[in-house]
Amino acid sequence: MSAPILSAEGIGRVFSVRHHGRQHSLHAVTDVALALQPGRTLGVVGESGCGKTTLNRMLLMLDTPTTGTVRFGGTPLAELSKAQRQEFRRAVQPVFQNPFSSLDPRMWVGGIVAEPLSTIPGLTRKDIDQRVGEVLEAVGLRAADAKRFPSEFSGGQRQRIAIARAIASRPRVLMLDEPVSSQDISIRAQILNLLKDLQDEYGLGCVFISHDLATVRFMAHEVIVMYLGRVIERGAAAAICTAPSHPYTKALLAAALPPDPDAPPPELPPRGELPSPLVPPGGCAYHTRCPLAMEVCARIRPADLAAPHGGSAACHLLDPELAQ
Amino acid sequence: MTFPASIREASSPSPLLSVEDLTVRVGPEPDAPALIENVSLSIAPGETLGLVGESGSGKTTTGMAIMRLLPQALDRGMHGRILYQGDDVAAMDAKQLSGVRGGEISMILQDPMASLNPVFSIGSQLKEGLRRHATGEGSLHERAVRALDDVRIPSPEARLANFPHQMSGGMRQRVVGAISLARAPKLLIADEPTTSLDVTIQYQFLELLKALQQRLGMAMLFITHDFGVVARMCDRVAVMYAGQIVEEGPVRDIFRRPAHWYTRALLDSVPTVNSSLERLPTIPGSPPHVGARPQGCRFHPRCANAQARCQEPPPITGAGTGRAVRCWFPLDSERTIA
Repeated sequence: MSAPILSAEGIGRVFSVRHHGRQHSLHAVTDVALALQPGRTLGVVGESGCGKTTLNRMLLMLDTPTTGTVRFGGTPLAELSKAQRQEFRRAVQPVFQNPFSSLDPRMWVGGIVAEPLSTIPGLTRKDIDQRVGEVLEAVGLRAADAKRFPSEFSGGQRQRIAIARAIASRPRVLMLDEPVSSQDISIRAQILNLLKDLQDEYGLGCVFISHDLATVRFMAHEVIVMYLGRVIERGAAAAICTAPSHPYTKALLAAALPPDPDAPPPELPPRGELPSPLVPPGGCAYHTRCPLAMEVCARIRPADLAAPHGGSAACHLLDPELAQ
Repeated sequence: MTFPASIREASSPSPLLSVEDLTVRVGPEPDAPALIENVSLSIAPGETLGLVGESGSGKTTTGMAIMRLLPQALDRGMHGRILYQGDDVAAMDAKQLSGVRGGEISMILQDPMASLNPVFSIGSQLKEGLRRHATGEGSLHERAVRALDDVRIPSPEARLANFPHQMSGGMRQRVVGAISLARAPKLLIADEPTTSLDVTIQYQFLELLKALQQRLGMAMLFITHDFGVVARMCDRVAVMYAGQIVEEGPVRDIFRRPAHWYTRALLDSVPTVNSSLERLPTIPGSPPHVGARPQGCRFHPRCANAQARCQEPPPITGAGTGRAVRCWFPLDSERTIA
C-alpha cells in the first residue's frame, strides 16, 4: 500500500464552553487515528454530536487539534512551510452538505469554481476560464453555465457546482461531508455515481462523512464509526455495513430502514438518546443505551479489540474473558 | 387518482377520508399553474397510506389542502372534494374547520422547533390542546403528565415546566406527537415527521407512532420521501410525481411489482446495505418545476421507456386489485429486492 496522503494520529479537540454559568471542557473528538490512501474512500459514520464535523474541520486545517497530529504527505500540518500550506489548500478540497449555503449567491458560478485556482501560482485568465469550463463539463454541466448565478440552478445542479469547485485545482483529497443528504432521491444516485467516477479518473482519496450505512457501503472502502467523539469500530466497509460487531453500529444498522416491507425485525433495535457530550458517561460511552451492557461497561472504557470481521471494535463483549 | 368504481369499492368499503379530484392552482384563474392535479385518494379507518415523492411533487400541498391550511391564494385556487366521514372539508367555513382540525384530523410536521412556540413551556402548549378535549379523566395537569408519559418522555412531571430549547430534537418531536394526539384524532397527517431526526431517534419515534396508532385505532397519511420509512410504516402507498399520483397500491405490491417506470427507477436508485454495486442505476435530469411541467405523461422526458404516445396524457389503469397506475406502458415484472 502506498503512503497515505492525509493521516491523523491520536487527534483530539477540546472546546471550552460555558454551560449554566460553569466552565466545561467539551471533548468533541478524542484519540482518532486514520490514514487516507490515494484512490480510496474512508467512510466516517455517526449521528449528530459524534464529532464528525469537528474531525472534518481538523482534516481540512480549518481547526487545530488540541492533541495529536494531522499529517499531509507525512509532514505534520503545524510544520508545513508557506509553500506547502498553499499546496495543502490546493490538494485538499471540501464538499459540504448544503449547496444553498456553501455557494455564494452573489458570485457567478465561474467565479465560485475558479476560487481554489488562486492557490496555483502563474495561471492566466485564459487558463482559469478553460479549467472552469472543463470541470463544469466533467460534473455534467455546460461550460456556458459559468456565466450564471447559483440561484438559477436546482439543488442537484448546485451540488454539482460545489463538486466542480472542489476538483478545479486537481486536488488529491476530497472531504465529503454528507454531500447527498440534502438531495432528492433521484438526484442522490447521480451525485454518488459522479463522485465515484471522479475518484477513479483523478485517483482521489476521499473522506465520506455520513449517517447512512447504505450510502457508505456504496461509497467507501474502509469505515470508521464514531460515537461521542471516539472511534468505536473500524474495518472494511462491506463488513461494517452488513455484520458489525459493536452494539452501536448494530443499532445504526437496525435504524437504516431497508426499503423492503418483508425485512426481518432487527437484531438489536436502537434505544435511548445521546447523553450530553458535556458530561459523557464513564466507562464505555455507549453503555447507557446498550441493550447488552454488563457491569464492567460502566466502569472501564473498552480498548480496541480484534473483531470477527477483521477490523476492530471498542467493546467488552469482544473480550473472551469478560464476555463468557 | 380516479379509480374505476369497482376497484374503489373493493379496496375500501367506507373510507374515513376520501379525496376526489383535488386540484390546487396558484390562483383562482383556471389557467393558473397547478401545484397538484386531480389527486384522488382514500384512507380507511386505522389504515396508513404513504404518500411518497420528491421535493416539489406536491405531497405537502396535498396534506395541507386536506387540513385547509394552504395560504389564502392557494386555498382559493383549490377544486375538488375532501370527504371526511362524508362531510366535505373543502366546503367548510372557519367554524366548522376548527371542529375538525386538531380534534378529528391532526398533524405532525417535519421540524418540531417550528411547530412548538419557543416562549411557552411544554406544559402550557400541551394543556392548550387538552383543554379543548372534553373527554378524559383527571385534572388537566394529570392528563398532561399522562400525555407526556404516553410518548415515553422520562420524568414527565418535571418536563412540563421545560421550554422547547431545553429538550433534544427527538424529545421535541415526541412532545409535538403528544400535542397532536392529545385529542385522540381519527386521522393523523404526518408530513416527514422524522426527517430532521437522527436515524436511531427516527427508528424509536416511528415505533412509538406505530404503537400509539394501534392503541388509538387512528388512520395515518404518512408523507415521506424515504422508501425505508414507507416499508416500515405503511399499508398502502401512493407515489407522486410533478403534482400527480402516478401509482398506487398495497405496499408489498409497489415494492415487488412497481408498474410505473418512475416508481421502479426510484426504488432501484436507492442503495442498500446488502447490495455491492459499482454504480447505482439513475434517473436522468431532475423533477420539473411547477411552471415547466411537460405535456402528456409528466415523467416521459426522464423515462427509459418513453415513446411517441407518451406526449399524450396517459390513462389510469388498474393493474390488479386496489392498484392503479398512470402510464401508457405499465411494467409487469417482478423486482428483486437486494
